[in-house]
Amino acid sequence: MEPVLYNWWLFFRGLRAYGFDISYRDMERVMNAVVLAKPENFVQFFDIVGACLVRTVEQKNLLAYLFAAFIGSLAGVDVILPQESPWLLGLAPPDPHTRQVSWWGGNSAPSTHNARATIFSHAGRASRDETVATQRLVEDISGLHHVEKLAVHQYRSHRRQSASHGRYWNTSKTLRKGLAQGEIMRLWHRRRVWRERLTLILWDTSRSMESVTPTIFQFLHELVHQQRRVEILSFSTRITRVTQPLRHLGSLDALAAIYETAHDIHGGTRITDALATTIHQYSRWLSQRTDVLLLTDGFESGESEPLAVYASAVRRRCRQLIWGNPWDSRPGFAYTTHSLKTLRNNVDRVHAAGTIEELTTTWNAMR
Amino acid sequence: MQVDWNGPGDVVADLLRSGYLADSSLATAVFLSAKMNLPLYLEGEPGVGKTALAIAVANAVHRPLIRLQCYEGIDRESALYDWNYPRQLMHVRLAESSGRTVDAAIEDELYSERYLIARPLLQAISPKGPAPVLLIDEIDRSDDEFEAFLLEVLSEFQVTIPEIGTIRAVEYPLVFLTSNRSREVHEALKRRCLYQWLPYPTFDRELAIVTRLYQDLPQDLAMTLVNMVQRLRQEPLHKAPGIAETLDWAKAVGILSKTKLSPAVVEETLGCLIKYREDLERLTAVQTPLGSKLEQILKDVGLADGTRSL
Repeated sequence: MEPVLYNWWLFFRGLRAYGFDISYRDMERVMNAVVLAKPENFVQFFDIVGACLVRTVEQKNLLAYLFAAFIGSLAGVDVILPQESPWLLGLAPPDPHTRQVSWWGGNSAPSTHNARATIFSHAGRASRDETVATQRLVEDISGLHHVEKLAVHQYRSHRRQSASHGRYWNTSKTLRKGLAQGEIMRLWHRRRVWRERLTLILWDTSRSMESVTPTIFQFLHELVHQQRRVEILSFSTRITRVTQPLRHLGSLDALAAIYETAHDIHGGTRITDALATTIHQYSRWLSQRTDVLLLTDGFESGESEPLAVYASAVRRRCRQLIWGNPWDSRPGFAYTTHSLKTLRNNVDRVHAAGTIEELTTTWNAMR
Repeated sequence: MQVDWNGPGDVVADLLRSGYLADSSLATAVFLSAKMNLPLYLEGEPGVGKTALAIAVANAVHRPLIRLQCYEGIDRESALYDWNYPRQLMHVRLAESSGRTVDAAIEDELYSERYLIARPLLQAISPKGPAPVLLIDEIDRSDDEFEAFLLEVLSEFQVTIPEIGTIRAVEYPLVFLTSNRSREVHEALKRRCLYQWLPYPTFDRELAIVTRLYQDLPQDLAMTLVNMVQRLRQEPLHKAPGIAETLDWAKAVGILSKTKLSPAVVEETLGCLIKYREDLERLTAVQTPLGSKLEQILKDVGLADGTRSL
């Protein structure tokens, strides 16, 4: 056990590189657990680490492989990591600084790194001509189409607010007022508060969506000015938060800012990575009060198996996952490819989202 | 919680005496949870023994079990404490009728522990006797607000009642949270707990559970039962049978006084294992020239020769 404890910090660094969120407190917790349970073999050691650091069953499976690799590297035996496993494919890439850590040694480490690096190799900045052309299209669309008043999505909070009329009897206030005034005369009530629901929009800006990008942009620009609780993430091969430029700039300036910020516009379509990054980096927005609207054509360039895993994971984490497909209402369009079928099976509903009217209908239907 | 466990081995032995067979991974998690005063977050498919574990631990350590069943809309008043308003009103009326003036003294009396209704969480934090085992069942059914509220309670094991003050647990209770993973629970809550995923048991472990609980059941029959359940779990069913279903089935077969499993008996008692009509139809519908899926399974486990149809 001594080599394990001696290289303990390396193990934690390696786990962090594979997406484990480990703080100093977690390390301290593992150390205390080891002292308390006094493990006699590696299996017991693994049980302790698993109980303290793991948060999901997928992480537990991943930890099993990584722990085996760690022990294997200490013993001088190479352990080949399963690169086809969906939980490995969609994880955030390792931090560059962690490349020097070599406990997952042998040939498996470089290939795993390279596999992840290719995800980001398709990134390319849109040219100046493309930006100007899209700006012209946005001008044309904004002249032709007007976005109607959009519905505000609300939910009834469990917080109860004191009110003169309402469903619940505010006993304490009734009693307090009655005691203060000497006689219980007036009944006070409580009622539940209505709050605005958060909507997270994942906007596909890949090459295949090029023809509808100006339309969707026009709609989203109007949307963030009408709605308070909307967050927009654009994605093609990586995710970029574009809510701020859309909210604070005029339409043409916002478009230019987005083209400047998002380096992957008109790149490939990586829906799986977008969903995985949403889970890892933007989990604070995912809750049972959040609607997620995925505006994409669904032509995923990766495998469909991880797509199913992450689409269902996002769906579990939010109130509803709606897919807005620009081609859905086009005559002759059919869900024929594997990725289209997979995505359709792992969302709550599919709506047409190719025009301003269709996007408005989709939004208003998300009640 | 102060328990006389020196290692995970003691947990396995104590749980075995309570009728629960725990593997070393689960025993380690329970041991650490008790020694480190951290809640244990149990996740797994329905019927794999999450709730049964909490009950078995309570029996093993001879502590009372307090159970909080979560549901959509559960709030602070249902989980922590509430004031007994009818009694408070009656107290005011009695004070008025006896000629007492309603003043600050009366108000203090109204908001005293006498009129406080302790709900499960408060009962666990300030128990009458030794620290209990607290089971917060199916946390994934509750709302985000309730999760946020649990953060406060589970991290410090103290609650603040404005009218009375802060109540802090003298001895930390042993807390189990269970989830069927119908939705993801927030990271912040998981971070405060030890995590344990309960999978479906292996053949040997499930056989040991069945033979331990139903000792009158013949060994061959028990093996066939478990074999059948293990085979059913490989099918893409809407709800695969858990350990609870296996035990129900073994009990049903025992009540029917069957000493051997036959296709007819399986058909009669399939309701113990399969709980959805779609699953039942999927199993019994004739889909291939070899017969229905159920017939194939029976053949696989050696209960049918392939010629007999149900």
